[in-house]
Amino acid sequence: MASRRLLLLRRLAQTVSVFVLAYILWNTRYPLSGYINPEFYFLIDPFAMIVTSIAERVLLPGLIYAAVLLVITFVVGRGFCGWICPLGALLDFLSYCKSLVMRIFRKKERENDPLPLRYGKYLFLGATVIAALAGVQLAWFLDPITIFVRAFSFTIHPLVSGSIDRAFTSLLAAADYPGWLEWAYDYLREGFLNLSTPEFNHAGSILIILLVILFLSLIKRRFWCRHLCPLGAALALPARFSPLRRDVSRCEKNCGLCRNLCRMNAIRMDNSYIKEECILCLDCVALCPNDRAAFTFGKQRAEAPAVQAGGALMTRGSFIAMAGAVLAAPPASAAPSAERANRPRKPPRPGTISLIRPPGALPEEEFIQRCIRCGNCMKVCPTNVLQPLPISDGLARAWSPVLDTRRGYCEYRCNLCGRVCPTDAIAELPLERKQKVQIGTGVFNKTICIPYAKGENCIVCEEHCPVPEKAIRVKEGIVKGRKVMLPHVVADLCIGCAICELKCPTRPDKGIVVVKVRNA
Amino acid sequence: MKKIFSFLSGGNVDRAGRTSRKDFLRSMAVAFASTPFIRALFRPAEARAAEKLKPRPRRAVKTLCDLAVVKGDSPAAITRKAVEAVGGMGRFVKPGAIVVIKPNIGWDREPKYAANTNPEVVAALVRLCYDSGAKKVKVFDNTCNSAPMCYLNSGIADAVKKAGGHISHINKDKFIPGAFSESSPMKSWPIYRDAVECDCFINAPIAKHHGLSRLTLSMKNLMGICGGNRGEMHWNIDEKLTDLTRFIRPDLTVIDAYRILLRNGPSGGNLKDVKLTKTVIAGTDPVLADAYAATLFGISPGDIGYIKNGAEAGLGTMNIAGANIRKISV
Repeated sequence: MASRRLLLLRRLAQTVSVFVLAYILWNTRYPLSGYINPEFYFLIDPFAMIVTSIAERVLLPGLIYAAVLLVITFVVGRGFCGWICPLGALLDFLSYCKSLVMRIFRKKERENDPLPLRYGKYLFLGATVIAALAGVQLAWFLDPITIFVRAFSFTIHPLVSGSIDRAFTSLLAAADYPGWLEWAYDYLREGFLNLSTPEFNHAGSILIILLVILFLSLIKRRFWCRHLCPLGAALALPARFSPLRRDVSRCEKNCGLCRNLCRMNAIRMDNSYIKEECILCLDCVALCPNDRAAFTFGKQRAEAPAVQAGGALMTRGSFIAMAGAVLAAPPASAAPSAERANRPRKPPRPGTISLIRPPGALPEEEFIQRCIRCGNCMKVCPTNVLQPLPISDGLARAWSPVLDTRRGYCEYRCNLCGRVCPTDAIAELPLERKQKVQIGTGVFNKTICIPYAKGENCIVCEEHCPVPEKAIRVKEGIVKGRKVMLPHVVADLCIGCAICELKCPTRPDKGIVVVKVRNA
Repeated sequence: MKKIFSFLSGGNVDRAGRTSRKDFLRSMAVAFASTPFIRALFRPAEARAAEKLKPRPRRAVKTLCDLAVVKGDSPAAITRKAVEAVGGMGRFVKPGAIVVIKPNIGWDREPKYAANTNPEVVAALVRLCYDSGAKKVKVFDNTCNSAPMCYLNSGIADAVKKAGGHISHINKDKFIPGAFSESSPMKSWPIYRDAVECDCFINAPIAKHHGLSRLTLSMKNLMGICGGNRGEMHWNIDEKLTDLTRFIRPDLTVIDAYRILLRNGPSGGNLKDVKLTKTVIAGTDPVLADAYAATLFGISPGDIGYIKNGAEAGLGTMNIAGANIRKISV
């Protein structure tokens, strides 16, 4: 059983992959360290890249990396799923924990699943591609990398970082601020913790997808990967032609152990296997009691004819799946179509619902199709102003980033959101250009604004305005018989960064609010 | 669970696992009686939450002159010279002292835009403090823009670290209501604890334009140790700044006027608004230091509300002609 080392190697690769991604995400913040591109895991994701490219009719730079992964998959099969995919690694870890518990209760699991539900994922893939052809990008909802990253950025990171931070601050307060502890806290805050823990709206509802996937994997190992994952389906297509294959020609017994072990339910009763289902986890090789299974490069030997049946380009099952996808697609794509989005709506109350997108974002209709809701921009935002929209704002724009100007403001000398966007839904603008982009404009509410309403000096907004020429200027005026400085917005200069709204001292409603500009 | 409960209450459990009424009452009594002990664990924290920060005591330090104004090409050299002209750092910083230097790190701008204190001035002060035997020199500011960007791009974090100083970020728990006088408009404004609990407080602002108060100088710089809704301080700002300065009583004020921002302050961002004056002003009287700095902008000190208010409240003098000012060129 020398090949048990291979299992260790695989687990190591999975662990490293998860930690590399966690490291990337943890450091997706100011200043970007630049060791690993924060877009990396998305760029190599062929599902997200291809679907977004089709939906938007653009050639994303990420397609090159995605093509590399497809070529690798063509050579060695779905190794990505078994060795690299962070969500897969998480599911494997959960199943491992479950098996430990099961061992306590002395229960044995059978992984073999007689139902060939593996076509579900092709249905998802087909439906997504067809929707993409109709101009609707649904990858954001189904892409496993995105699901993992969103859960990490919106929930796990704030939770871990925030608890450590809270623990330190409480300990510091309880111990009356001893120097060494303060030093340790400052040191942690410099590199590891965020200075202020980011908080995200609707993080709970965003986590639900991951929780459902985790729950399903308790029923069957890798349930998501077997039946649902469209990225897995996309990788299965080239993996089908991979020259690497499982060689069981030395196996005489067909004891069925590997069949029950297989987490992907890829081994058939006659000990042949479904190549595109195999994720090369190597359990069947390493755990074979007789050491009779192996993976080799080469042509299929004549002794195992059963596999040939699966060699046909399109089986009946996958044909049915594709046909089903074709039928299912029109209703799926019709829902958030561009036509519907363009339909005249009731105009929102001014100053209340104004979706201010980050600077450099594409026009609204394009933006919601291009954005895969990975959460990178929201994670990196230094002021926590970028927040996911709730589903209640329409499924079409759910969880896309928008400025919540009561939480933060758009930092004048920061262009990080554009720099970490994997699909360029937010363009990577140089600072000088970003500082000219108008995302909204400030509007004074003169019944609340202190100088106008009470005749007292304030102009905190003017103080904070980051535009060098000042987009908020003051004129002297007389209110209630007192000479005060009255602020006003210079519309041509205002970029809508909303620092004025955040710093405006009136509570709870603000004397100045930032609203979207019609043509912006 | 039942076993644990019965074990805790120390009573008998019948066949069905129910506790007897007597045992239940007894366990309730134990729980009730233990409340004060549990409360006692949190008492220090409660007591601390109720207490207010007391103002820093006034320390009279004899100086060689009322104000030192030094001109020269190197920000660090003129800073050292200015402190020396006042009487040397040794008069303010005793061996083993914990020193707080409060520069302006409010904005995410590079030093050339004159929105933050010159990093070389801050670093020079840190070194002078350590040379005089300071135990620890803390440098911090409650920034307006996002803190990591301000600390990094102002160049101050780097400069202070190189000088051996202790740069720290604001810990929100350390803002404690200050015990201002009853009549003060500051009421019990939250003040950063570290700024008060130190042996020596050095105020190191930059002289620049400000929309509301015309200029932001040393007294206005103290807003950086305030917490709460700081925008509200703009309402009736002159009196508030006077009370705040009286609360902190900076031992030494060093105004960086190496570059001054003439317009569009306090954040600036346009090099055309920056004037190179190559001056550092040092003194113990915050009002006098501010009054002199105002003249660099061609503004009469009496026209700046908080300087006038501070002088009237007896915080210092704005009478430049009557003060002993040493002017030095390096």
